[in-house]
Amino acid sequence: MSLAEELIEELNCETVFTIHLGGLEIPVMESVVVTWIVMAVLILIAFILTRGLKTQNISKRQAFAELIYEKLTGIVGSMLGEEGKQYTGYLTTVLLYIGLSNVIGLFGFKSPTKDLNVTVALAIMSIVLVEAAGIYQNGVRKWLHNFTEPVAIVTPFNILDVFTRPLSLCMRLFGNVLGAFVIMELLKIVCPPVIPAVFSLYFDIFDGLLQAYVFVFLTSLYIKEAVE
Amino acid sequence: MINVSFWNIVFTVINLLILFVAFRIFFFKPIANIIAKRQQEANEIYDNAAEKESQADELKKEYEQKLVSVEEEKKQIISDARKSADSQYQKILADAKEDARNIKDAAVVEANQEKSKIIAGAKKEIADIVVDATTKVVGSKTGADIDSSLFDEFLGKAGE
Repeated sequence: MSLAEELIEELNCETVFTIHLGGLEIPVMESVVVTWIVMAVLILIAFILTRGLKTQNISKRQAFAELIYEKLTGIVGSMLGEEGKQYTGYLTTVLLYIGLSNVIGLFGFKSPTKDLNVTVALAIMSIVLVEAAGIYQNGVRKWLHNFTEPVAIVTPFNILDVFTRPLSLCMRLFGNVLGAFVIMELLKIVCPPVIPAVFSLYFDIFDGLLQAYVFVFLTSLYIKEAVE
Repeated sequence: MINVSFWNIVFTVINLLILFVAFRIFFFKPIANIIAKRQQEANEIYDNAAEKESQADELKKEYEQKLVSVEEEKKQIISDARKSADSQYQKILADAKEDARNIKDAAVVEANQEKSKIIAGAKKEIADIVVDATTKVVGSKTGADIDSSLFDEFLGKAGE
């Protein structure tokens, strides 16, 4: 198998199985299955961390859980601002999901974020949340009026924003994960065994977590802008 | 890789929503609740402490007032005691003076009596001596009684 074929095989997201629902054929892709694994891991960790919570004489586990909670909601909450506080939960979840999805490649799984469909879904949810937050906060009239701000001439660009923002979110995440993966695969083939480990720290761990942060940061920035 | 599959997107959206709800249930809610509960407990403790402090302040004031009244009472008692001691002292002093005067008076009376008795004794003695002497000088004992009375008279005149 040539390098190109190997890469393509790694990049392809295969259908693991197909659900037959009446006449409907629903393919379940690899990325969805890995997402389930990611979800299972995250929920299991959350479940274990929040067992036996107490108000006094807390266990180390609870202290750790509270630390994670305070830090994550603190970071995301401060990005969202006072008005957008209620979206902290969703964005924190997304942060954890993308973060673990990006680094799960280290454990031999195909990162779900390497599948364009997953990043598209994430971006769609982000833009829906952004616009919904804007409508919820300002009402439909003001939300529509905001498209003509600050001057009427920018209205087309503002409308374009609704599409370019999720597109850039989705492509940035997908492109980074894909690029990192391709570079790592090439490094592994060209100069094994020590050098790829060093680069893996950057491409697999740092870049993966950074992209998760960037995605959440930009989404919260849009929400903050929308609810102001 | 690049092919967009509708079902894949749907699945991912559903997965994300499930993950979000699960995290709400298993992570955010419990921890937020426990933190809020702890905050509440801490507030209760602070409230209790503040209440106790104000109670303690009240008690302190009360005791201080009591202390002041006790002090006054003490002063009152002392002054009363002093007064009564003073009067007692005066009374005792008066009694003592009275007693002393009585004793002195009695002593004076007694001394006077003694004195007059002694004087009387002495007079009698002197009279006797004079009579004796006169008798011896005169050489006769007759009429001695008359002489004695005469002498008495003489002495009485001379003594006054």
